[in-house]
Amino acid sequence: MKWAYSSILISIFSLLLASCTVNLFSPLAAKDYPEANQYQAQSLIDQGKYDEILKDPDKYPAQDNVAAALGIMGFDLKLLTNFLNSTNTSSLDILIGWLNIEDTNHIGDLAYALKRLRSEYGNSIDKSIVLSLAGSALPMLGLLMLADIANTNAINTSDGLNTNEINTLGYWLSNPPSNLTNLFRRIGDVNRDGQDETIAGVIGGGFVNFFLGLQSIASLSPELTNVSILTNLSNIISSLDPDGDGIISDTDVSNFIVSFLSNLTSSSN
Amino acid sequence: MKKILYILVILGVASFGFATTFQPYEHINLFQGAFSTGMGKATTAVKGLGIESFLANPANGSEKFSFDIISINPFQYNSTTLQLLSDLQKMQQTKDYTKLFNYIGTPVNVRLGVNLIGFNIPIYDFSLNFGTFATVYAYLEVHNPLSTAGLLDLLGFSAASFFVGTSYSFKHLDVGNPEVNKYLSNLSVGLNMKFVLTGTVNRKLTLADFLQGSDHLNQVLNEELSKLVTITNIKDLLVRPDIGLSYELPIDETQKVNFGLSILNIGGIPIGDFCIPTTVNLGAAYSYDLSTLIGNRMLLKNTSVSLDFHDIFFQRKDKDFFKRLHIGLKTDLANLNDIIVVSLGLGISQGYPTFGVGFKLATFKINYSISAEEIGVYAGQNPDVRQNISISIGW
Repeated sequence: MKWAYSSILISIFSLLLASCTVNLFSPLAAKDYPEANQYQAQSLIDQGKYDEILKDPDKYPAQDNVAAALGIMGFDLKLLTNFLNSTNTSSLDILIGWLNIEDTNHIGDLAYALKRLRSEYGNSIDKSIVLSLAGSALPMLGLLMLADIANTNAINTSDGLNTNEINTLGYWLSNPPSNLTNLFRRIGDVNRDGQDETIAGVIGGGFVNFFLGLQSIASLSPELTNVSILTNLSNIISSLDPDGDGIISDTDVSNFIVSFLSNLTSSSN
Repeated sequence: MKKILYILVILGVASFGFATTFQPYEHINLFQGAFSTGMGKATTAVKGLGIESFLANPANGSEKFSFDIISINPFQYNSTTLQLLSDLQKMQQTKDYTKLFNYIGTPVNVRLGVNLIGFNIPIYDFSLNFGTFATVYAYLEVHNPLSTAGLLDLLGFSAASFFVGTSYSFKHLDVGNPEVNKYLSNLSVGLNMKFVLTGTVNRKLTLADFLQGSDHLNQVLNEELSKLVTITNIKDLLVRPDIGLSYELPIDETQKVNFGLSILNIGGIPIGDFCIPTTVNLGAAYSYDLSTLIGNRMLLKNTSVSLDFHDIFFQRKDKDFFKRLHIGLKTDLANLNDIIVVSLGLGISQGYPTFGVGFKLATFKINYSISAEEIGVYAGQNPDVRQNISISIGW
């Protein structure tokens, strides 16, 4: 009897110590299939383990690949929380410290992810694709913040952006000021379109290029066509690429940014 | 202005069309007893757990009269829940909701079940069961905005249910053929009719919802919570039957094997766009009278080990075999004529070890269990450790 009770007590404590999180079936379970990989990608992004996804990007959905590439560059929640908690006295150095745009490998990761995204979803759009667009807001934010902090004389967003400031920001995309060279320096032809890219060009132009692949607003799902801002964005995009060759130059990107910001500021008014 | 611009940029894209509902991988049930959770949820072929046995398999009606009044079963929560409740109070005071970002990838779960009454009345070869139960379940998880999962998954339901059912044992049925009688005598069948009113909330909240300010956020949350408690429209009454089979195979005087099959929630129970599907569960239990073996009738009574395979037709969202596998053990460590009982439950649920203990003193019963729920796609991907408590007065 003592033996039986001892065994039971030992079993109890052993199981409790195992803390219920050790899975005894896990070695037997199938793990590498699309649903599981998608869940895993979301989990890794939640944990900020972007590098885990970028080590084996093809294993995960393209939109999560994009998210990881943006995340590892610093365009993630830390940027948001820092921004929301920041004061207007933040310096460029501090902002640059938040971001990780020095490593051109990360730019390459993003270019590759965007290429995948377009390749997989070029002719259709669904909710999952639209989700990844959320990520494009963060690079935009980066541009805004850099612009704001880098040159307090030319651009001062504390009182809003006027037309001249927007134009200046657009001009910088093609003719970057010296203190923004990190963002606008040329990094080679990373997406193999025959032209050298800037970091800003890859980030902004990549998304623009992707959405240019959509034939028209009519190709979107009915649910999405009701979203007014999508219509606005579609109008902006359709104003790009006047020759219709699908190639976006730095000037096109700058026009896009200017139009985008104009749209936002007019919305805020 | 800078912040407004930023927020507009985020709003512009974040409101683009996030999926508005959350489709969980968790195997959610309408009712989940605390003690059966401790024994790995392997209860399809296990009798003697009162209402928990009957709701797991209607053929498991007991031959003993029993009743419960004002039973709380279960109160379930995970460790994040208490921490979040504390932080929410601070956030409401400071209006700074960015602290929610600390909970990224960490789900919060609460479940509360209340049974006002539950009766099991044996009548000849029948066992009449009826009672009520109410359940409130809530699950929320914050995600990285870059994730395709949205920013906040919110899923909850409240259910008020009346159930009436019966199990019937064929042991005294005479069909005129002794051979057939012999086999039929081991068979029990059961039917449980559940009348369920549900209120549900199932929504993905976007970053846009958060950045529009605390007033907007409160409004959204209040709207969703009001859906959760609005279960008053009788037109929405769901009638959902459960069917069960049980076959008992005696080996000798001290051993027997019981096989069980149950079809639960026939027709499915919708929770917003999510649905608890019709599930077919199979189980087997081996019982051994250890008290006889050790020569003490007060120790190790009602001992059994059980094996369940739930959702054998893979109606849940995932298709993982091992997420459906449950192993359990239960025994009464001490049993003084059913007046004072100390019970132990051990198990492996979806691969995770579980532990449960129960204490009964005359009409007062309390159970506690700790378990992990698999909320990922396959067994072992993402466990959510939960604690379960039940308290009841009954016999």
